[in-house]
Amino acid sequence: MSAAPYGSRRPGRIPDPVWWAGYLVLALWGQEISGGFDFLTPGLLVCLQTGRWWTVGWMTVLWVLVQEGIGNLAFGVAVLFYAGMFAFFMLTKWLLEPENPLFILLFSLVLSVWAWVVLSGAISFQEIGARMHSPWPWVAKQWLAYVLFWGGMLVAYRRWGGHGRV
Amino acid sequence: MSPRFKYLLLFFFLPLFLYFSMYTWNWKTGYLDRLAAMVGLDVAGWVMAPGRWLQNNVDEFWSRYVYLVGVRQENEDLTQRVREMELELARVSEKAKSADRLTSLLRFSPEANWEMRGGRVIGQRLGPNAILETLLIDLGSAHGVRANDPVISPRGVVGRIAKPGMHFSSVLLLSDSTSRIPVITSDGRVPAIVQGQGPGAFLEVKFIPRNDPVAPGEILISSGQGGVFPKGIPVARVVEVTPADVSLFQKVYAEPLLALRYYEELLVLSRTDGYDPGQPMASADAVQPAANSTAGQVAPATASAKAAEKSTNATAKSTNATADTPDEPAVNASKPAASGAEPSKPARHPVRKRS
Repeated sequence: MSAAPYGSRRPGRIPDPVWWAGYLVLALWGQEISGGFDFLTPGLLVCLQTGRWWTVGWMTVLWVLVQEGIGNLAFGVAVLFYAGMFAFFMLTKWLLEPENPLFILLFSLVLSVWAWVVLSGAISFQEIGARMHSPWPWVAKQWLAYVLFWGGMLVAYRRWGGHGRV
Repeated sequence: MSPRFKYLLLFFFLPLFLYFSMYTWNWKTGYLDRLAAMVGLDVAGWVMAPGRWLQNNVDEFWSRYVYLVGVRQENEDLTQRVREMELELARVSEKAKSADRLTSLLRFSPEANWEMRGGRVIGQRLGPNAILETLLIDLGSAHGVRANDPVISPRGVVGRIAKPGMHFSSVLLLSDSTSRIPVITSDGRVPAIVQGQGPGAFLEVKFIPRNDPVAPGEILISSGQGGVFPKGIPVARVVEVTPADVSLFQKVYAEPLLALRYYEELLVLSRTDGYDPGQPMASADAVQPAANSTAGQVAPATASAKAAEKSTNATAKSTNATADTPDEPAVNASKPAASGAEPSKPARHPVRKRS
């Protein structure tokens, strides 16, 4: 399924600014309720999948500032995470079609492991006296969060979103 | 140069170099940290505030108008409690008057002026993986809040401002493992350091010498050393005391006086005399915590160790030097083992969980 061209009018669709503002609210509440799991990234992945590069650009900047701002580590963790995510996305795209559900499953797993590596690395590098969770239960929960939120958001965005340039 | 090497250089080493350059530059200047705090905390605050407001109102409506079980009994209990408190108040106010008189007689310097602001808790577990125990409150630098300002509730210390944003701030809780507060015991007046050990765990009370009197049930109050917290605010209650076998210090554990995560409104104290505990004073930098270029940011233990070393050296000349910022260990001249001030590392002994 190809992405809708920018500026196209589709009746009954939610305009992109409203859609992504709603998404931000949902993702931050998801993070609050789940105890810090990342719900912002799936929105970025949906934009990558649907080829909305302009949205990917501003959303990356905003997400980095939000994640770094509400986080407690020195600036750079979210930058590294998203840089790795883009690199992985480009590499994985060679192997699997991004629309494929298997891609979402595998990429979510890779991303969860990457998130854990980046966070535990940053804690260790910055020598903060905080305990990192044991890896596999944490990765499994983050994976589940990514798969459900990403899959759900992709379906919802195709059905109700994707209206106009952002 | 082979094409493969060029690609490696272009797509791996160059981004890596740029990343570390940005990281180092920000580590020195703190510009990006401040920008992220201003934008991130405000975005999160404005996004979450309406939801929290709605939740509070629904909760209030439910508890006031729908869920009224036990209200009558509670009313009777509270009436009885008010009577008891009135008697207690009368007794304590007499003591306070005499304390004022004695203080003026002894020519104590007056307490620093503190300003109090009420804030509402907006978020609790935000940030990537919620690494540190923090809260998001709706007070920021626009309201006069600064990094390291104490955050309290009517029952005791909650924590301190870790990162002030424009209209919202992040509060580092007392229970976080990077939090340290200098205290004294209420009965024995023994100085110590209270260190958090993470969610649900007891607080560790450090540097109480083996022969000093401390007992379970004793209240720990802030000692005021380090300049972050005013003196005399209840911090925790001692729950366990284990005499030392070979160590110079007793193993003491305490619990916070309040459920830190269940408060909706908190009070932020700010100094009105302009003193900033995060910055060294020109005349007294030896006895104050060392400067922290990224105020509110958790600094690495290496920086803490240097600051501690500086403070420790200063103790040879000065009387007492304690730091109660989360990133700087406390040093007490009267405690020999405290001279090797501990860096911000996790406790090595098993964490005692609260039941």
